[in-house]
Amino acid sequence: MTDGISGEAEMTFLGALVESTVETLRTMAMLEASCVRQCREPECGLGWDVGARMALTSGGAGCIGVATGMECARKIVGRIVGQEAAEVDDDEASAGLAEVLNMIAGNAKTRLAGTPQHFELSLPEPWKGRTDAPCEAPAKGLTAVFDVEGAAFAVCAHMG
Amino acid sequence: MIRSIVAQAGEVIGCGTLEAADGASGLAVLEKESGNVGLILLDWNMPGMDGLEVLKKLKADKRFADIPVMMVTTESERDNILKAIMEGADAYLTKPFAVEDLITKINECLASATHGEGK
Repeated sequence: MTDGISGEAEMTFLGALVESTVETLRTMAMLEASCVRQCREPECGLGWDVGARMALTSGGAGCIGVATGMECARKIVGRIVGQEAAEVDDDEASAGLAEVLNMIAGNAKTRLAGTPQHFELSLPEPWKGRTDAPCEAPAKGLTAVFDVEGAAFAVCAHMG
Repeated sequence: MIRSIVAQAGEVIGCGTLEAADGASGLAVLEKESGNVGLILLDWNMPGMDGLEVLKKLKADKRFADIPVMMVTTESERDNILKAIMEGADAYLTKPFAVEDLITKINECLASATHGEGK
């Protein structure tokens, strides 16, 4: 489902993020993620507990982020480090998601090499706490929502 | 998180690991432990010095220059890989990776280093 997203540039950018998310979660966490919705961030209508964001630079300044519920974050990080989800505490979950974001962004950056959407990364910053806007993006921010074994996981981005 | 995975990979192949959160800390660890270090795994995107800067410092220092370095990083574009190789990186593993691939690369690096010593 694609809500209000148009234009080749946006589709290219979001497409790279979707493919990178699927590859990262499959390779590192052995979790299958399927993209169930693409939308403008303020239209997303979902609340999130934990995630990470990083600034990126392209033609202008932008940001990219991931967000999910705490239970899903613990499952993802637990799978990656070989622990039960219950053994992963909140800080480890948010720090782990920062590394997951780093991998998703790095993978997407490679996919976008040679295109106008190519960007440079910064360092990811983890966050915790209920929010509706994981990327703190303006209205033009894009979000892809994934189903990860029954839990919602979002990747959001906006380019300046 | 990646340091935890590397430590687990080290356990699998029977190697201990020393960890550092950034380049400056890593160089400080090496100052104390270089005689016990057989392989350096180095990320690219780190706070402070990036991995390429750390790599240059390692290869410019006679005490560390012969220790093989594997870059383990999200920087997977050809130009960056070439930069790292040109600066003396011995191997390059891009994230995301399967743990099996990490173990294979570590073993290859260690075997290559051992083989080199025997020449």
